[in-house]
Amino acid sequence: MPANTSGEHNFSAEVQAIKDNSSQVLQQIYTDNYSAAERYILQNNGSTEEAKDIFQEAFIAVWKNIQLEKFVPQNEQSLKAYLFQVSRNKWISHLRSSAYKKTAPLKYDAQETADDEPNDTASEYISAISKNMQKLGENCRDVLTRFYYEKESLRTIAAFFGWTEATARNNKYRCIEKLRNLLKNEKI
Amino acid sequence: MSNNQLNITEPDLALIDDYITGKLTLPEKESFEQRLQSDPEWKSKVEEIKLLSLGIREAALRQKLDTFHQVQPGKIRPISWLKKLSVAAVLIGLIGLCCWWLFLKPSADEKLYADFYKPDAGLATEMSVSENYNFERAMVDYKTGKYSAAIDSWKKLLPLNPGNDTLNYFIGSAYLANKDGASAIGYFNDVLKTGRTAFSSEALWYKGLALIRLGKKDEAIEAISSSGHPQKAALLHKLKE
Repeated sequence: MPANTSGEHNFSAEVQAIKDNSSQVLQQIYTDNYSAAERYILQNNGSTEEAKDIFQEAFIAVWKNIQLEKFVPQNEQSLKAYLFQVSRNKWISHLRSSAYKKTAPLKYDAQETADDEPNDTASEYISAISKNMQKLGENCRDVLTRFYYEKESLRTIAAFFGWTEATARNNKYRCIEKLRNLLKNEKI
Repeated sequence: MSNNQLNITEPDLALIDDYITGKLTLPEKESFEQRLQSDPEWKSKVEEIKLLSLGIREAALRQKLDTFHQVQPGKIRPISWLKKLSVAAVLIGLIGLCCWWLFLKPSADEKLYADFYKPDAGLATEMSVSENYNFERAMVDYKTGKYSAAIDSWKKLLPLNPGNDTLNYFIGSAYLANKDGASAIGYFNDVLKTGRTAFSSEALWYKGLALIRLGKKDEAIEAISSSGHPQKAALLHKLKE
């Protein structure tokens, strides 16, 4: 359904869809908002590739803040504005980084430096988990993704791998324990 | 985070997962939540699994971003979308207008209405990747002149999207195209109630035209004066003649 352009219609269904990882909704938010961020970055000394990287980081940060209920969008406009703001702030942070300073002068307002990347313990821990997922074996990554992201039932997962449901439950547990062990040495 | 101090057993994980994924019955959920209040270690375990679940989901989402990136604007219709005229729909509108001229002998009001009324061309539709299937299906009906079918479909969506300006505007437009100006005005008023939206100016214009057709000249002048339509001055001039 088209959102109310006056921004007054109830947005909670969309927020729930984001929380439930609806690919359609996430895809649509990505597509609707990418070009504004890209335009801004291209106009401010960035490349298309940089625009993509920065926007994707902003997209993850916004998604995470919605999951943690640190940001509750009231309507489509507030979500758009927030995603743009996070992208812009990430780009400004990038411009201020030492790598960039070596090559170009700065010309941005000091007031625009706030980065909306969630940077508390919980958010950092989530990012660490995400990184450590890559260190798991393919089967474990697949089981955990199917269960927690795709929200497949243990029965479906068992059928896919040719396991019993009990084996699927046990394998999920084993994979979670592996992931926890990988995280044991993370200094968070 | 001192997560690894905790001993989470397989039954613990199964129960916490059932809670997170909403699979517990109401009594189970209540007792689970009571334990959350009274048992700090249990609470820490639940918090940890919740974060693990989010981290796993972040990793999965990252894998999908490049796929999302492949879809460029234009291939998918944005949620709130500014109107674009479709050449085909404009032609249908013009043909409709010609037929009207050929078969009807309009009164002075109707003549003026016909001089200025051109149906809204509608929104471009792409039926492929869209959540708005029902909305767009009805838009196809609207553009092909099946106004009653479009009205029926859009009206069904209205309870799910109360006050939605896009819906109200096109239901109004379909009623007007279906020569039911009185009903159209009600929906245009609903658009205008939501404050300034992408459709305000058009809603005022078409409301004014509907009022002309109903012989309500003064109200029509008021509505058209507030619209930003390019033909506003020309129509006001005619109305005041």
